[in-house]
Amino acid sequence: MANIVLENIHLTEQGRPILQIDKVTLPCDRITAVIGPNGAGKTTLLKVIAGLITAPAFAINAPSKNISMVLHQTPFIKMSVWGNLLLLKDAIPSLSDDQMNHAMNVFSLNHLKNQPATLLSAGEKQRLAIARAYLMHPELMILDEPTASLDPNSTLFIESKITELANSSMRFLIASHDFAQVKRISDHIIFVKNGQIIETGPTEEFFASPSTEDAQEFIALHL
Amino acid sequence: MWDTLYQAFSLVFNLDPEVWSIAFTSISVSAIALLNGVILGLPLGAFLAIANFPGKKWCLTILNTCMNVPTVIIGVLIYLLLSRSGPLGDLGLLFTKTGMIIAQTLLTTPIIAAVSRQIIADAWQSHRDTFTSLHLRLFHQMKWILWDCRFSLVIVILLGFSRAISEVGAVMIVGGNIAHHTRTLTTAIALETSKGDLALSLSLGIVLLGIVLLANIAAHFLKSSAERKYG
Repeated sequence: MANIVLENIHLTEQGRPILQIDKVTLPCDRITAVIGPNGAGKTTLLKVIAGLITAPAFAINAPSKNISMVLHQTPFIKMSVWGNLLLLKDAIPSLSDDQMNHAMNVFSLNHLKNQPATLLSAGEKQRLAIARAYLMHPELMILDEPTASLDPNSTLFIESKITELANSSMRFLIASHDFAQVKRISDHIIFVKNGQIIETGPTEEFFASPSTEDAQEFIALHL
Repeated sequence: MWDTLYQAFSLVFNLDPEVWSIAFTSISVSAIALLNGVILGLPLGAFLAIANFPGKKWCLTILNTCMNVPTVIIGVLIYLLLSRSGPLGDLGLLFTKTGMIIAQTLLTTPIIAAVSRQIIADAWQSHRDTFTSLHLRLFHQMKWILWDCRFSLVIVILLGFSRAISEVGAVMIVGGNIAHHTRTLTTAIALETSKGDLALSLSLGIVLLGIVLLANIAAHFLKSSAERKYG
């Protein structure tokens, strides 16, 4: 199983610890879910792994440097859906129109090609954000609450795409508050609380017999 | 007073050649200076909004100071540079439109850079993580953030145009207010008022106001139609 090793990650904000990790090995195989209460440090953890938050002291050893992150609410450039994919050509000059059309097709965005991206629905925006990350062919895709505030159909669509891509060797690290979703799609759990990694383990095992008191409390509150 | 007003409007609407020649000089000089200001100021504003480097705070302080430098000081500096005994005297640019464009470019660039920096810095807060995650380089980040802010930046460009076209001190010193050559609306208004030709002075004022009004209407139209399209 592939792992991510984090070392010396100490982040505080106005004296409050955001993330405090001396050394930890995290599972990173197929789909791993990061769960924990609000303000636990899930998003910060994901951003550290994605390289969006950096510091000289941080030591991060991921299975691949080819990581792409989709934020909880991705801001788009004021132009069409196609235009928002087009900007990737600056990062990947070899990206072809065919590949972009294929990504639009995979994420059912064809009919929205010329629509302003800023006026899409929440579900459509999320599909566009994931389609753009998908075009980068990352080995690890990090999604921060990819289905929060989406309707059930959009949620199931995104879950099906995640599963589909995970089955074709792309790894996922997903922060989620949705226990049902976590149980449906994830293989491993990372439980975060107060900026610390409290527990990790296979999903079924974690929910059946959490080994820490914090995890037991958290699960009891949400079930 | 009513007579003066009547004469002023007559000069404007009878297309008095002198009035329109001065207006053309003003518009052409200001437009080229504005173009220079946009070409230099917008990338500079984007760079200062996005890039992190040692001494950035000092750069911002210098930029903000440049924005507030009195125009006559710019005029005197350019005069010293372009005067026959100055380092660029051989170019023969003193009392020419090119000299005036240089002076106005130095006035518009800092204001465009400083105000655009603030707008872009605000937009950058929301785009930074996404652009970093997409592995865009600094140049491309600047390009796309400028494109995203393009409708808000219309106001900055308008501000630069207003700064250029309403300027008196620097263009008076560098241009020399030579009739049919470097006389602009503002320098002509100052001259004609001092000579007591209030009708001509007022007619030039009406044209100046008209230009600024038209520019504002165009900017407002562009911004509101963009907001309707993109939300």
